[in-house]
Amino acid sequence: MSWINCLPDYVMVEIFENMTPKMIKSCCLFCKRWDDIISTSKQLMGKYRLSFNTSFDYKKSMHLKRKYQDVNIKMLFLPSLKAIIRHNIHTLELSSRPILKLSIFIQLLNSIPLLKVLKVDFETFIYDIQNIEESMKVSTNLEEVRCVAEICHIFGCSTIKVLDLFWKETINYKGRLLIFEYLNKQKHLEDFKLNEHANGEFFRYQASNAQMFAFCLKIFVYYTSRFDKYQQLINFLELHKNL
Amino acid sequence: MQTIKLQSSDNEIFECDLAVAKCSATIRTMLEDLGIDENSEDEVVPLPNVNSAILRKVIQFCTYHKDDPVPSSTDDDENKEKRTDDITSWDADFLKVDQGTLFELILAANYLDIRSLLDVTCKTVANMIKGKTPDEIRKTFNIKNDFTPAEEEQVRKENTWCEEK
Repeated sequence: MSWINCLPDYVMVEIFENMTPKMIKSCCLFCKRWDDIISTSKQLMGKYRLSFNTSFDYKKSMHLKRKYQDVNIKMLFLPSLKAIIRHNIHTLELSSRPILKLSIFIQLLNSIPLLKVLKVDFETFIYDIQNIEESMKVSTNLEEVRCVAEICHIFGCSTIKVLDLFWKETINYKGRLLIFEYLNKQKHLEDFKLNEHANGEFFRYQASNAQMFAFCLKIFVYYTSRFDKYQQLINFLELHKNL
Repeated sequence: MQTIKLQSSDNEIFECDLAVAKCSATIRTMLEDLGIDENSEDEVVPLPNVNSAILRKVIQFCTYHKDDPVPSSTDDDENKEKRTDDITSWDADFLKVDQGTLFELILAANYLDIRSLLDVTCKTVANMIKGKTPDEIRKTFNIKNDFTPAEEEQVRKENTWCEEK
């Protein structure tokens, strides 16, 4: 008889909580029950985060790159999807250069139901930004997103509280307008950041509500102190005098 | 000194200090919410999930620890690594028991909701796992490896995706 397996699941969690993540990881291998308890416990999995940065060393990422050029990334990415689903990941950081196709990226995010925080580094280039279809939407309720501004509308306009955007200078006027429209729809935004590539561009657009106006103004004040754009600031204030 | 009578699953009656019995949140709730009269002479609190051998140990533990300060709930920082090397020598001696007794104590601590006893017993089990190979642990706890080799390989592979925070 196995005394330890007579304990209820939540008492087992108490025992595992006294261990380092490394030990917890090795406990998964003892029997199915332990693996189940650990994999489904939010408390324990909170000790982990999935980090592609450290999972791929330089050699591996070069391999990935080569592979992508002649085959396709699906083969490399999909095996990991199952692992992510199992391990209730809350934070996903992509900081290597996985060279994603956007459809696979969305599929990846949609397969992590508990994902709350997504951080995509500036260097993580997404090739097919131009080919976004209307149907491609992220269904996960994210709360904190850092990504390239061009793809922000795939996150919908539901639950995001913290948005940190950067954009490439190559984005066109229409693209900027779309991004601004997207921002105007955000209802739950508490903090908003824009990296300096955007430098004062937002002067041209109209904020839909006071909060959005406040965010923009904060950014403008920062930029006007650096780039002599007082006239544009005055125009912007004029545009919003009724708000 | 006010006392209270506790009845084990095998019908043995233990008379103990009320302050000691109140180390158990379960007993506290029974007394406070269910209106069991603390002053009544022949009121007996039945504990159908704990046998007399274990109840005797639990009372011994609570008697020793009854004047311990209540741990503040402010330092339950999730990221703080729990220490397992802070078991006092009295507790360590107290828990030098066979595995069956240890796990029955965990179950009793859980049922009676005695935080300090549950903490120290869980730590003791964690320490038993530490520094042992999977095979040693399976042997220690009599756990059957019910993975097929393919499943085991799958779990191993999935875990390589997890990095420590």
